Amino acid sequence: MSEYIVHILIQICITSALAVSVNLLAGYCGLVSFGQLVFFGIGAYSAALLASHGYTVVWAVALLLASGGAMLQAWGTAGLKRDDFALATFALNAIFWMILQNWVGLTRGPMGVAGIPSIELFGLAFAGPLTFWIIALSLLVTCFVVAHRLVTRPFGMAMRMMRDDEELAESFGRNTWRLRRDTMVVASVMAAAAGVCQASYVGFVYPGSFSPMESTLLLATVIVGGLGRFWSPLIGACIVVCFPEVLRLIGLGSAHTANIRQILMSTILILAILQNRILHRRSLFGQQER
Amino acid sequence: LQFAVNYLAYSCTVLVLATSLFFQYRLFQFFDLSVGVVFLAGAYTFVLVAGFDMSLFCKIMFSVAVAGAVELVIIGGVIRPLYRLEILPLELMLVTLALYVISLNVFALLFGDELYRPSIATDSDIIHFSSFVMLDAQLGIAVLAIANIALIGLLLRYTSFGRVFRALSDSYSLTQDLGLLTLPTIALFVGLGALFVGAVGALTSADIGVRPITAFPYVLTAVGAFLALGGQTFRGVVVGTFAVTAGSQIGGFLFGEQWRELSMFVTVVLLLLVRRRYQWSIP
Repeated sequence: MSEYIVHILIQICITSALAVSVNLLAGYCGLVSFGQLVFFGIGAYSAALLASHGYTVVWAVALLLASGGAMLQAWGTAGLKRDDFALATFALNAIFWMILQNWVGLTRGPMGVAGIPSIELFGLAFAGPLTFWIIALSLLVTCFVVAHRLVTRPFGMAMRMMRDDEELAESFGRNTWRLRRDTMVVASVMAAAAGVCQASYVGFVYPGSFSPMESTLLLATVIVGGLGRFWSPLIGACIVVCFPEVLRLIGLGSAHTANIRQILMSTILILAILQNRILHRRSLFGQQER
Repeated sequence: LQFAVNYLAYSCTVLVLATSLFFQYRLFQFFDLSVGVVFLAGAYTFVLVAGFDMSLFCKIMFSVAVAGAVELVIIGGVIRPLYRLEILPLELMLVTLALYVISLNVFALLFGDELYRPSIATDSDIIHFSSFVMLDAQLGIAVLAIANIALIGLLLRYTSFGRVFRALSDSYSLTQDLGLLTLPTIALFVGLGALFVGAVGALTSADIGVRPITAFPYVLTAVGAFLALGGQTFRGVVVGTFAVTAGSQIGGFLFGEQWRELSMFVTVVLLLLVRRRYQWSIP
């Protein structure tokens, strides 16, 4: 395999892992979260700041910070309706983005952090794309296995019940707040792990990758594949990662590829909502009506 | 005093956007993030016509007309049909967010990411006072906000449109069943909101210039201002706007300009906590 193909595959794996975390919340719980990019950013910046200074506890710190952040998010958003929850997580994303841009002393602001060393696991350095491919694939498989175990057990049934009718779930004795919290913690850990991998692989992080606009793109990634379907994150990630490459292959690649990608994904987001409403007479995010 | 003048111009811009959000929320029960599209339409149209040989007033009116037309397309072509399909507020919000992201990228493709600023010499003169200076665009924004408060306040309080608006806020379907003038009322308030946003977009363009991301901090602050005091009444939106922008300006003054927007979020959270704790709202 050429290094180019491996590079694309690694990007698909990392994006899929992040999308799995969004799918768990939006697809199975009906909680449209723009906050997953925050946890992705926590992972990426933990790797960037710790690894650059020679610390080797990147994974532990990133995952702990993400879990703590998810607990706080669950506590802060307890009792919020779906649209309020979406708005609150959108604000959370905006706050995180502003901190990354403005706390120059810590994050180097818009310049970003460069020269992040490669990941080390059990003393082994994963430097080149071919060796890093093992890490990315392991991450993806782990995320899918965890997601599978969650959604095929009573926990997953409770998640779907909460998505379709939260009051009904509560009257069946489900603690929906705890359900939300646990799902958020699992999803945030997945996102943070993907962030660590991304920072370590690319070797550079900057605030632009964690903006609220990118969050919209991430949500669209899952919706493209089919929200609430198990393999949708993988399908969506393939489309999102390969789209710029296809543009480049047919000679349309330019500095504006990112803009075109955002336009396309936003259009798909609108069409997906319309398609569900017009053809299937139901909501994209569960069966609750206004 | 200069600090107060800048605060006033910033608050007035946010107030106009928050008023538009207020109309959409009360009528359709969702957060219309496409208000940023209307703002950008007004701002970029002003950039395009800035070099034309016509008066500043005509340039602004032309920008307002384009912004109004954009709002008409969004409301008539997207929001109202979707609302009739009984789409969830969350989905409507996502659709408007997607529309905003599309518009932002279209403007970036057309004009690039850099700041466009019409010539200050021709379009926005500096007015010198004894202890501060003010651009005439800033003065225009302040006048616009005062007109916004007066006109909307009068319409809501003393006209039949205001009564229908309140009825629509309580129950859209019941208002229609009663045979009240729903469509003209929606058109009036949404149209007014859009025209004010278009005008403030054009004036902001004359004041500080415009780039695709310019609308984003204003929209975020407007949503915060709307939410801070519950968003139930127009008075609450006005008070909320000045409270939230005061918090953000003070934060920016104390900790540095770069922390202004973060201070806004902190102010909104504090106000929400106080409201929740003391069950307090603006009547």
